[in-house]
Amino acid sequence: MLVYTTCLLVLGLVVGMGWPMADPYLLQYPAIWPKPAYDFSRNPLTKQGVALGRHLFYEPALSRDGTISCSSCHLSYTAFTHVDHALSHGINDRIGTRNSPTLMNLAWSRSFMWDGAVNHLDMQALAPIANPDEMGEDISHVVGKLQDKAPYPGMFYAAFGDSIITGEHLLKALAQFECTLISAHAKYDQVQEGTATYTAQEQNGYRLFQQNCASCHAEPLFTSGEFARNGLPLDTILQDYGRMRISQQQADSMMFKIPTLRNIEFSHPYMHDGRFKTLREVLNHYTSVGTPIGKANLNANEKTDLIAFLLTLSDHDFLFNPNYGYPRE
Amino acid sequence: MGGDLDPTRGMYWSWQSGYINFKLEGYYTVCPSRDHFFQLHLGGYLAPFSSAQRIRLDAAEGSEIQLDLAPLLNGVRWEEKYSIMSPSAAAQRLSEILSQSFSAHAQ
Repeated sequence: MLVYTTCLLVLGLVVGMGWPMADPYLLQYPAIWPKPAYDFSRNPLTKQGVALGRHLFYEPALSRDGTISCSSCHLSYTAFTHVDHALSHGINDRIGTRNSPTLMNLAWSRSFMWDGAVNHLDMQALAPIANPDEMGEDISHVVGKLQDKAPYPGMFYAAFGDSIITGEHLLKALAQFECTLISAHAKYDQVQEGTATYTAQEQNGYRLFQQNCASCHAEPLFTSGEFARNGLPLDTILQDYGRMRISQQQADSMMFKIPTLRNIEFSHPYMHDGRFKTLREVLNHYTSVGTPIGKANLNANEKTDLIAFLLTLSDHDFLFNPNYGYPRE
Repeated sequence: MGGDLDPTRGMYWSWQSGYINFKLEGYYTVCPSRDHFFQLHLGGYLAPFSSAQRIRLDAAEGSEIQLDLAPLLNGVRWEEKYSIMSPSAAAQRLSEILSQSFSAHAQ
């Protein structure tokens, strides 16, 4: 059995200078993880910036009619996805075409959205704010609304030293909060640290995971960050060809972002369009239809063991973190 | 992303990442659109349809930089391609025309 003795939580970087009156926010993540992709020197995390981002995350004024906030489709208790909704709905009950993704460990992500349409975390929020099926709003109009709404001018001053709200500061505050959404305390992580052990069933599931899943869902983030064609047939109603819409390259037809498997117990329904309700259905797809590189070879007992391992990726410290919920003063 | 690059200034796409590098909108009777409206939003940074152009101008201090729109206006296919709002071959072609349309003039 592998024994890990040295890896404990390290403190992450406080690089660069933000507004000097704001207090640096210390980001913590496991020492064995790679370095974050996010460039903190260009948006140094501060306690005030993170607090502002958290307020904005729960702010329905980001939507045109004041009914939809980020949290409408990204609930903290389900790893920031939209529980029980295959496709999420925005203002006026309009339905989009995709399953809302989980939000965690985003500082390690180099592309965003199921098709990688967005290339930087700071710019991500522009997409749901403007999408008519989500918030249907205009970023400059949002800035105007927040300027007239307490406590925002004061919070922007505390975070960035300027009570005149800008799109840049709005987006950077949201990104700061999202960078703090780190899930690293699942049973899997405790086993890596040597403070917990798998059951025999979980251990066998881990072996099967490494054989069948790990090339795309790479440890420790459980995604390689790449795009893949996983064999799902086109939904003829949604007509979603994935990354091809962005790259306009035939080679990217049906390519979608590989999602993390962390907290997968809570992020159902699954796939970019939420077509599968259970993990068993997901595994049945990989053993029956398979991907362009082949079918997974798993019998019923092995599927059960694999699911047992996937449940070790549930992180209750993350799901019930009081710093992630609705900001009561 | 601050100042003139702030996404509130209307020069950043929302549905996918990337600045709109050049924007020209107006009315031209040749366009078969409603009210003959045209929109040219030139942008895109991913190959093969990148519209980012590197321009080098030798200019004395205090020079005035001029952009001649005539080559662009003559290069648009107004009857069919009057609405460009995503990275495309047409956007790339027009951005190449624009990159040749800057000149420096000493005061």
